[in-house]
Order: sequence, then structure tokens, then C-alpha cells
Amino acid sequence: MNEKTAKRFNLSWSRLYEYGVYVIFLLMVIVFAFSNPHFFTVKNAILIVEQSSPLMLGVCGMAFVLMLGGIDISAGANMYLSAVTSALVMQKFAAANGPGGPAVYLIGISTALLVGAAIGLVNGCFIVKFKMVPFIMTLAMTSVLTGIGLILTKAELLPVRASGFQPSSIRVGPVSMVVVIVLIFTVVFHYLLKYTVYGRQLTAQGNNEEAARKLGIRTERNAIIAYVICGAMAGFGGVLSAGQVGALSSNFAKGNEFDIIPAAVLGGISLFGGKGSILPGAVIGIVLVNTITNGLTMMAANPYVYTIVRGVIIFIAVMLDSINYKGELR
Amino acid sequence: MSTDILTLKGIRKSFFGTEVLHGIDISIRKGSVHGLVGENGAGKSTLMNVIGGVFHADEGEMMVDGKPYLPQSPKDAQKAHIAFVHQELNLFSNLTVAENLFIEDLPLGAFKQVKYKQMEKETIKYLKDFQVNVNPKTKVENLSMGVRQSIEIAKALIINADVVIFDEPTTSLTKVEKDQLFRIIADLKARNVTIIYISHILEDVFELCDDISVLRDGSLVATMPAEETSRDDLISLMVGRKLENVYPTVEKTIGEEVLRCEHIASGPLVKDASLSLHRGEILGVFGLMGSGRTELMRALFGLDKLSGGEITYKGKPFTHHTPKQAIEAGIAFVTEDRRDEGLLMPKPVEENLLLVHLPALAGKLGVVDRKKGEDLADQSIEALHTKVQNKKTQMACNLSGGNQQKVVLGKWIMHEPEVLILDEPTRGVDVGAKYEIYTIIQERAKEQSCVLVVSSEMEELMGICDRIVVMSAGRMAGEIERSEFEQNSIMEMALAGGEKA
Ligand SMILES: Nc1ncnc2c1ncn2[C@@H]1O[C@H](COP(=O)(O)OP(=O)(O)OP(=O)(O)O)[C@@H](O)[C@H]1O
Ligand SMILES: [Mg+2]
Repeated sequence: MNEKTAKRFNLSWSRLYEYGVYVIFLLMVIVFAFSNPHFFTVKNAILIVEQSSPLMLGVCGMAFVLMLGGIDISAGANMYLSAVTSALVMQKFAAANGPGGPAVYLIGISTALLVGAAIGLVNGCFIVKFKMVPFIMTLAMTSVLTGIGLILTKAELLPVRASGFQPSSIRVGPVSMVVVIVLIFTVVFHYLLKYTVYGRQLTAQGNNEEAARKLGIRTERNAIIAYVICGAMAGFGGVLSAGQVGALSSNFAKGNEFDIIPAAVLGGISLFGGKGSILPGAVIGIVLVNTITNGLTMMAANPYVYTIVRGVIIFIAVMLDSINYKGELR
Repeated sequence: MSTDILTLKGIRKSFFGTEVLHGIDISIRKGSVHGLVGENGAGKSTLMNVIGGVFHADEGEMMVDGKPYLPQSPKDAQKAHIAFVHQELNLFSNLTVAENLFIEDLPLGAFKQVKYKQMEKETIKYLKDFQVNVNPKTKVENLSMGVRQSIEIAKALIINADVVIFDEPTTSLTKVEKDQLFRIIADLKARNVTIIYISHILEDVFELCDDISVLRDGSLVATMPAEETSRDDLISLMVGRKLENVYPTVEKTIGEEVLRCEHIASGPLVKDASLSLHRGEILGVFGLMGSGRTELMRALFGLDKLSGGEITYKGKPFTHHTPKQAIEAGIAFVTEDRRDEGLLMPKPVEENLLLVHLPALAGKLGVVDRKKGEDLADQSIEALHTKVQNKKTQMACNLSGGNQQKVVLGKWIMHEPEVLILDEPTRGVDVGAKYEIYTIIQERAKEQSCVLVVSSEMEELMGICDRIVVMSAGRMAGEIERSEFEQNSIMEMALAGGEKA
């Protein structure tokens, strides 16, 4: 009954806010553009795309978990710990073999992927096998991961660039290699979700798990894989982001899940499972979120304002999802 | 002598320590249509789930075609060429028709990509055999219940099955769709496919089946050829006693008008509907699928907005109300779609039963009188003979299909509504429970409530109603008093506007 009333409510109001998100977005861009001449420039647009890229990987992974009706709050902490371990391994490697060279990249990225995937595996196993509530499980995981990261770094600044890991310095035309890699991954994951057996069965199971089980779909395995993908992508995003920043502080990637999840949800992936896709919605979502962050920074707004804005974004995203928003963005 | 395709020996199954199947022995003849009947909660679906590999039997063995058969999952059942149409729909509403049909075995291309084009083409071709006319790209959430059930049936038959299990397949089919299903069953039989058919509509069972088995309380009480038994025999085997009447009667008086609606229009289906309802009256609403009967009830209850017309309730205008206001005013609505709209599946039975009446149980400080609630829940379970093991711990989703329905009905009746709107109140409910439900309807009327019953079973309406109004294409096609009830004239009225599905 709830869903149906919501739909009906939605029908009568849909006109009004069909383009609502765009209107708000446009207004903000105009305000930013007027308050800082550097905002509305090609250079800044590229910067926004660069900044969005590592998080976009997180969104790709999160899409799988959300499709299932689950959630992974530990994405930010995962980015942090994966980046830290990877940075430490690269440091060791560089100390032995000298900094730079493709080997550093290979080792750095594989470490992050592995650590991230392992974290996802633990999340997935506990959630699936012990039927733990995803929110609580991954919340607990956040705390554990952050703690391990702080111990490993002794809460000191950890340099990344010194090992020769600078993916953002390799340029491909106007953008860096990071953007290109992320674009490729985005397309691949979109494909995985929309055009493979795994993706379609995951979507089905997010809609009606009981039925999926009765059809003999391997629901538990699929769910665990989704968390592993989510974890691995967070790890990957973490190390790329670390390469952009150049050094890891104890605040690195903190709270990134609250950019990733709303971006996915604004992009049309429902928190209730079974709905949405990565292209184009989720991409637009993450760019939108980053544009707002960027604009606020350029306005030299009080840094605490950002926290409030982030809250408002989450609020809007979840509200639109709850009333079954089917506006233009989706 | 024909051979048995499926043999079960000593099948036992327990849920949480309660045994629901007590050693079932049954043999199904190859190429026969085997009917399985029994009360709600007798264990029919559970037994089929064991055969279909959804549940594992705790004890016992099965043979398919003389070979041992030990399914570990539904996949194994498919491999043994056993197809299963479940009692509840198992479709994914967020996927397209084509995806739903092929989800277990999606056609893949060179890059392991799903070949949508090919899948959609095959879907069209395949559904044509079932005379289901839908675009394969349509999402299932946009389809009517009847079409969904047809798709579910088509989907089960996609594997070249030797045995097909139908667990109450007709609950949301229109007349036309049902005839279509019966043709399909006849076709399957002609191809020597074995069919197990579960239904509470005994007429259908007699029409289709060669053999009939009766389950009672988890035991098989009889298996016999259909021609050697009768409807009455079956019923007494099912319920363990003789049922004298199909429809109870009570003495009651009909009083003043309570609810009146004039020229109501709502949504695309209700165009111009009027009716009036009196104290103590049982009014039937008959109409074919798509005639707007369900939508009219939704509008009366405030679930759908009116686009025209007026409702008067107890002499006062009552037009733009919300469902909450309707409940407060004493109107209750038992919807047709109980699974989605009527129950909190992961909640215990008691909580579900008390849901509507809860505010009335609260004392001065808003504290709920638990004792009283428990008593009321017990009364409801008893009155409807709901089969519940433990009302506090058993979740609604663990009840048998028919018993879920009894819970929905029970929770509304507990509130003692002044106007009780029932949409298909006995669908999926066994014969014994039907009688209980009719009795409750009569009693509500006797206590001077009014009852509106929507049903597609005309006989049922003729059995319990004081008056029947017939809807056709969103309009009132006629009205008949009890003394003039006659099947043909009612049907003619219903058909007058044409069945526009
Ligand atoms: N998953 C479950 N967990 C616990 N108990 C269950 C479960 N499924 C069924 N039961 C119980 O097993 C008994 C038999 O249920 P079953 O669904 O087989 O009945 P049925 O004969 O199909 O009835 P109906 O005609 O109402 O569909 C019921 O008492 C029900 O409460
Ligand atoms: Mg059943």
C-alpha cells in the first residue's frame, strides 16, 4: 500500500520536481560562477572531473551493493586503509628498488585492490552468512579499519609521491590517466551490471530474494561477490586518490561514503534495491556532488558549511528515493 | 497398467520443530492429471516444495521414473524435468518480461553478454503459444496480476517438463485466461506430460483431474480416481466432518441508508458508478475483470482520488477522505492483493492481527492493553480456524497462503467496522474456511453493519448477498434483488459493456 500511495503522490507532483534537481544544481552553479571568476572555466571543470574520478570507482562498486538492497558504510574507511597499506608496500618497494617505474604502479594498485577486496569479503560473509544488518556490520567495520590505519601510520603523514606513484601526472590529452582508467572501469561495470548473467541475477535478487532462491539462483554467492566488488573498487579509488593528494593524513577519505552513496542514489540507484544503473545516472550524481564541494571551496566558504551542505545532499537524495522519484536524472 | 512417474515414500518435514508432513506416500501415474486438495495449511504447498527441491524432506525417499531422486535445489528439479508453478508469484517486477522468462538461463553472446535482441524475439514467439500479448520489453511491475500469472506459468513451462506442478494457478486469472490455462493443460496431457494440480475450486479439480488425493493435517487420507468420488465426499475427507450447508443464513433486518455514492468517476476504469448501502445489508458487486469493481472500492475507501461524483456517509458528504479518515469513520477494506497490501510479512501473526485495532486498545496514556490484545487475537484465530503454530513467534510469511488471507480478514473484522468492504474474500481459501467467512459476513450484517462484497464468483454472491449490483466498463449495468437472482441475467448485464481487458 505504501509503495502504491507513494507512486500516486509522485504522479501528481512529478511535473513540479521533474527537473527539480537540475534547477537547484543550475542555481548553485550560477551563484558559484558569480562569486568566483575562476569557477566557470575549462580548467576548473577538468579539476572537478579529476577530483570526481576516484570516488566514481567507489560509486561503481557501491552500485552493486545497493542493487542488492544492501549498503556499505565502510567505503571511506576502506579507501583509507587500502591506500595506507598500498603506500607502505610501495615505500618498501621503492626503498629496495628505487622509486618510480611501472612496477611501483603495479604493486601499489594490486595491493589496494587486494586489501579492498578482502575487506569486502569480510563484510559480505558476515552480512550473508550471519544475517547481520549491512548498515551495522559496515559501520563496525569503519571503526576497525580506521583504527588499523591509524596504528599502521602512527597517525603521522604518510608520503605517497616519494615512492614514484603519481598517476595524475601521466597526461592523456587534457586529462590525467586517472580519469581515463576510471572511465574505462565505469563502462565495464555498467556492462557487467546490465549485460551479464551475474548483473541481471543480482538485479533480480535485489527485487525479490525469496523468488530468486526458489529459482535456484545462487543468492548468497552473488551477494558476497557484490560486497567484494564494492570493497575492491573502494580500495582502487583509495590508492588513486592518494596518488592525487600525494600524502596520506589521518583524515584521508574520511566520510567519503557520504559522497559515494548519495551520488549513487541521486543517480537513480535505489536504496531499496533492484533499481538504477551506473550510466549515466551515477556519473552525473558524483560530478554533481563534487561540483558543489568545489564551488563551496572556491567561495572560500566557512569549511563547516560543507558539512551542512553534505547533509542536505544526503537528505535530498534519500527523500527523492523514498518518494520514488523518476525525474529526468534517472 | 500404466507406470508411475513419481513415487514418494514416507516424506516427513518439520518447520522449527513442528512436523507438518507426517510420512506421505503417494504415486503419480505417468501422463495423468493428479488433483491435490486439502484445507489451508494441510501441507500441499510444502509437499510440492519438497518435490520441487525448494525444501529438503527430513525423511523419506522419492523416485522419478523408477530412479532415485534427491533434489538439493530447484535446479535439480528442473534437471529431472519437473516444472513448478508456485502458489505465489515469483516474478521480478523490476525486470522486463523477457528477462523474467530467461533469468535462470540467459542467452549469451561471444563476450558473455546477454543477447537482448534474441531473448526478446524468442519471448514473443514463445508467449504466442500462450496467447499472452505483451511487449517483451515491458517491466513486469506495469502488468496486471492476471498477465503476471500467465507469464509465471509460461516461464515454468519453458523447460521441457515431464511433470508440471500447478499450485493454485488460477487465483488471479480472468475467465478468459483461465480457459486458456485449461487448454494448455489439455495440450500438455495430450503430449503425455504428467500434471499435479492444486486448487480449492473443486469444480475445476473435477473438470481437469484423473486422480484426486486428499491431504489433511499433513497426512494423505485418500487417493482415488476422480469418477469414483463426489464433491461432498471430497469435502468430508478434507475437513474430517460433513458440511451441511454451503451458505449459512441468519435472520436480520435491513435498516436505513448508510453509504451512498453517486456518479463516481476515478482513474481510467471507473466512469460513472452509483450505489447505496443500508444498515444490515450485504451488497454484492459483480463484474468482469477490468470492469472497475476493485477500483470503485479503492475510491470508496479513499485510496484513489475521485475525479467526479459524490459520496454520502451517514447523511454527511464524505468525498475527499484519506484511508485513515475512512478507518476512523468505521470503514474497513480487505484488499484483493493481500500479499502486497495486506500483511507485514516479517512480523508475527499477533502483531498483524492487532494492527488495525491497536489504537482502540490503548489506554489513557497510550499504553496498549496487551492482555486484551492477546485475547482478541486468540478469538480471531479461533473464529476463522486459522492454522497458526504460535501467534507470537510465527511470522506471517511462514503461514500457508490461505491462512495469510485469514489473518488479513481477521484484523479488519476485529475492528468491528460499520462498513466492511471485501474484495474477493474467499480467494485461495478452503471450503471449510469459506463457510466461516460467510458466517462472519452474515454476523456482521446481523449486528447492523453493512457489507460490500466484490467477487468474481457469481455463485458465492448469490449465496450470501441481499442484493447484487453489476458493473460493466466502469458503469452500473444493473441491480438485482435476492428474490430475482439468476445466473444468466447477471452475466448478461456484466457482458453488456463488453469485456475490455
Ligand atoms: N517456511 C515455513 N516456516 C514455518 N512454517 C511453515 C512454513 N511454510 C509452511 N509452514 C506451515 O506448514 C503448514 C503447511 O503449509 P502449506 O503452505 O504446505 O499449506 P497448504 O496446504 O499449501 O495451504 P494453502 O491452501 O493455504 O496454501 C502450515 O501450518 C504452515 O503454517
Ligand atoms: Mg499452499
